[in-house]
Order: sequence, then C-alpha cells, then structure tokens
Amino acid sequence: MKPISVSSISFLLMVLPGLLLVTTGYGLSEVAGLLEILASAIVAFFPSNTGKGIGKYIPLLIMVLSFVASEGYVQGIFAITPVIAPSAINLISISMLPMTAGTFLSMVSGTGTAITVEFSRNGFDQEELEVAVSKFSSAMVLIGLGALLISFLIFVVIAVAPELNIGFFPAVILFGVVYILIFRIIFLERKEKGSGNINGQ
Amino acid sequence: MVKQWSMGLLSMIIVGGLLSVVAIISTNHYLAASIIYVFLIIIILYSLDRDGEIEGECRFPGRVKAEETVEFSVFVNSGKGFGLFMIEFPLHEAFLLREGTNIHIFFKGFSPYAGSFEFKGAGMRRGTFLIRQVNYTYYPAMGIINSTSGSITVEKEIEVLPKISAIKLRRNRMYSNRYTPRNTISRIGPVSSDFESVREYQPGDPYRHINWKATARSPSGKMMVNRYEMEGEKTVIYILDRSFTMTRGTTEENPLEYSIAAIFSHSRLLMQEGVNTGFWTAQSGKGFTSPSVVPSSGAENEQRFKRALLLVEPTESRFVVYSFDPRLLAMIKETGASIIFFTSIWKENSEELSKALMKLIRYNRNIVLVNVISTGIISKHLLGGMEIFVGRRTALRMSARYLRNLPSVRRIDWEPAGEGQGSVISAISRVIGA
Repeated sequence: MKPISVSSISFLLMVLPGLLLVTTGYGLSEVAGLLEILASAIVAFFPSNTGKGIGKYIPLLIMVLSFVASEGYVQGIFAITPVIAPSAINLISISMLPMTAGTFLSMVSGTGTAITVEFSRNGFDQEELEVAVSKFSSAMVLIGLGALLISFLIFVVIAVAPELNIGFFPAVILFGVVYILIFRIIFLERKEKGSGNINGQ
Repeated sequence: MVKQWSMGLLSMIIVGGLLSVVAIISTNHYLAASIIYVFLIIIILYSLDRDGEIEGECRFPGRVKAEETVEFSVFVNSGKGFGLFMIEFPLHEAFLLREGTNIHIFFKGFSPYAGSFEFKGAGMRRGTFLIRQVNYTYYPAMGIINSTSGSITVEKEIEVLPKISAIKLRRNRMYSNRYTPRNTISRIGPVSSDFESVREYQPGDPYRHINWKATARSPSGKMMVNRYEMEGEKTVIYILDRSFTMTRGTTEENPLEYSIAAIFSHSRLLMQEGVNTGFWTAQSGKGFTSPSVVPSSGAENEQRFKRALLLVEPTESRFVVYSFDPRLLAMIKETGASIIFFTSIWKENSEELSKALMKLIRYNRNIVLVNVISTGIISKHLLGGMEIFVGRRTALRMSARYLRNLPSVRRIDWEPAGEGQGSVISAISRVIGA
C-alpha cells in the first residue's frame, strides 16, 4: 500500500468529527470543526512536518478540548459556551473512534515515509524498500481498521448489555487498575528486551 | 525514524489515558469506544511483538578469479516476528559490488516469510576470504526502537585467484648454469653431451672435460675446460618481500599484489617447462602466515603455489627486518637455484634489503631483483597518471643509489601501472635463462 493511500484513509477517518462539528453546529463549533479539518489534512498528508512531538495529536487535542468545554464538570463549573451542539454530542463522541484510528494511521504513514527516506540513504534497493514499506503499511492499516471494527463492536456490546452497567465510579477504578497494569507490563517488557540480543542460526 | 515510531506507539497509551480523563471530566461514556480502540491497538501489536528470527543459507562459488563477477545468493525464511528485517551480507573490502546491493530489507507480516536476495560482486585482489555469517537486524512493529540483531551462520570460504596474464610458452629450454653436478641428480641433473662454452678450469672439474687444444692456445697458459649443458632442469626460487613498502598503492593495486600475479604467471610458465620452482617470503611478522613452497614442478606444485600465493599477506609492522627461513637458505645452497627477489625499493627498506641481499649472495650469486615501482600506481590513483614518469625516474634513481654496493645483483625495474606483466616476465626469463 502506497503512503498516499494510507494518508488518504487516515484523513478520511480523522476528518469525521470536524465535518460533524461543521455540519451540526453553529459559529464556534464551525470554527473548531474547520480547525480540526485543517489540522487533520496537515497531519495526514504531511506527517513528517508534524515533528516528533505532539504535532500529530493536534486534531485530537482540538476535539478533546471541545468535549471538555461542551459538557461535564469543567463546562458546568465555569459555565462555558458549549463548543459542540448538545444534540450532536453523542454522534461526535462516537466519531472520535475513527478519528483515533486515523491518528494511528497517520503515524503509520509518517513512519513509512521516514523508513523510505532513511534506508534509501543507506544504500538499500529502492524497489525492495518500497515493497517492504508497502507491506508494513498494509499490515498496519489492516490492524488499524480491524481494531476499529472490533472496538466498535465491543462498545456496542457494552452499551446494549444492561448487566454490564457497573456504575460510574467502579468503572473508573476498574479502568485505572487495567490501565496501570497494561502500562507497567509493556514498559517492563520493553526494558528487558532492550538489554538483550537475539542470536539466531 | 525508529524513535519516532516507538515514541508514537507509546504515546498512544498516553492518548488512551487522556481520552479516559476527558471521558470522566465531560461525563461522556461514548468516548469509551476510542479508549477501547487505543488499548486494542496496543494489545494487538504487543501480542505480535515476538522475537524475530531468520534461518537461511548463502550460495556463492568457492573459487573465482580476481575481478571475475561472482553471484551471491542469500535464501532466508522467517516464521517468527512481526516487523522489518534488515539483512547485511558482510563483504570484505577487497570485494567490489558490481550489481545490486549486499543489504536488503523485508517486512515479515502475519504469514511466514521466504525469499531470496541476489547481488553480484567481484574480488579485486587475490586471497582466501572467510564469510562467517550474514547479519540481520529485526525491528519489531511494536517497538522499532528495541531492535534486536542476529546472524545466519555461513562459515564458507571464497578463494580469489590472482589475475594471470596469458603468456605464450617459451620455445627455448632453460638449462642450469651450474657446471658440475655436485648435488643430487634429481635437482640438478646429469651433464649432457651438448657443448655450451669453454671456460677456465676450476677445482672439481672432471679431467675428461679438459679441452687440450684450447689450453694450448690460451694466452695465459691456463687450463681450459669444455662446458656442457645440463640434462636436469633449472631451479628457480621466488622470494617475496611482505614488508609495508609493498603495500603502497591501493588494496587491490600495490607492489605486493602485482608481484603475486607476476610470480603466479611466471612460475606456471616455468613449471610447464619442467623447471623446479619454489617460493618463500622475506619478512617475518606476527599474526600472519608465511607460506612457502619447496622447489618442484608439475601440477601438484602448481596447486601448492596457488595456495601459498593466496595466503600471503603483508606484515603490519612499520619496521623492515628481512629474515629468511633456514630451509630456504639450505635449498639455495643445495640446488644453486636462481633467486628472483620481488621487492619495492624505498628508503625505509633499502638498508635492510642490502643486508638481506648480501646474505643471499653468500649462498648464490645468481640473484635477480625485481623492483616493483609503486609511484606509478600511486599517481594513477591520486593524480590520474600525470606524474607517472617523474615518479618512475625518481624511483629508478633511488633504487640505483641504494643498491650501488651490490653490483652482482641484476635488477629489473618494473612499473606495473605502465608496463604489462608480460614485459617483466620476459625480462626475468632473459636474465635467469642466460
């Protein structure tokens, strides 16, 4: 799969919340929506220009701030004008799922381009390199889109199953425990693997 | 690149955390779908992040000629891992890539990978090169930053034979210039009935060889004897200088490499004529093999020569001290062999060279010194051949000055950058066959 194809898929997924903001909202949400669309285009098609920092997460940050300013504790305490129209908030919340997938794919696209540029300089065969990067991108797109479908199905199952409604605070505690466990396992494993070498045949 | 990817993946965990915080603050449980996605991605990639491993084999010919194009093939298969594999076939510096590249990359996805890589190269200098392993680096898709490396064992040698010039067989036979067969018949051979010349009598000459008529005509009244050609073949011993002065030039083109090619060609020529040829090196050094070949002829000796010449490497030391194998000196004494000494005369080795030649002269005066001039090689590469003649004149003056105390040594100056191998071989044959 060519980097431009990955970028296009990434853009289509990332742009969804922005489009919904523009189509369903008013003045402020339209501005936020346009900003999100613009940022998504830059992140998707110019992944190398977004740098190694938080550049690639700007569309995500725009949406996150829009949510914080639209409902919940912060909006209630400071009485901020909601950015997202209350009627569209659930739909836009769901559209955050493809947007996260788009962010992941933009990362894949950026890495593919970076691999091609870096390895080309080291004397690798261009054609072979493009095949490897293309396969890498295809596998990642498959994983990204597969995870998108599976997570949506999981969410639907959780949403429709009343017996899984375990309440807000127990859910937060459960999530916190799972999060810390995953974080810890991955970091510990990374550290151990980083110190050793494989000796093959 | 790799850092960018790894940091990106790790930051996905942070994104998951951020979305969770936002979901709590905004009391929006629909954001759970995105949080599930982030963790699902991490779990999928993490489960695929196994240790990458490659198995495979390499194919290439075991023996090639210098500058001949060789095809290297690497067959790999991988059942483990999910990520990019970078393969590097380590090529000795004496090899030149002719087609393709010796570094390859492929992506191992969900299914097992099997593939092959080919490239073409050429050994630019003779030698035996051991290829121990093919190295690979595995960049797992999850944590590209934590690359791991491994290798495929090869342990195969490739012999690069020196370049041999096509030289026509000589028509005339070379006979020993020793008059009396004082040594074993097998090495010197019996005296033939073919008259060669008349010379003064020397103690040990058989009485039946006295030429009474020539003695009567001799103005000094000295006794004269007939000299007859020997039935046996001549013995020729090559001595090759391995000091650092022989490495001036490039790895592929330097006096040592040119000398080896010339010795290889000339010895083959002599052996085809039945001449006993031997080979020794003249510089001792640590960590290097010092191969030698006892004078003999025939196909077997030709193989010994080939093997010995492949193993010759220059010494690392910057100090020149010529030492000779006692077996070499004994052999010269026994056979009265003609000595062909290949060296490159420079100020750094001239003094030691004079001493070494003086030592050899004590055993045999029939020494031919082949001075391989490297200034032409250097100027060919550095100056595009512009200074080749100036360099040659200087080198000739230098070698003449350094060896002025050794009048009995016949010197052949050879500028391999400008003169072909044929010219030096014909010059050597002329001198030793006289």
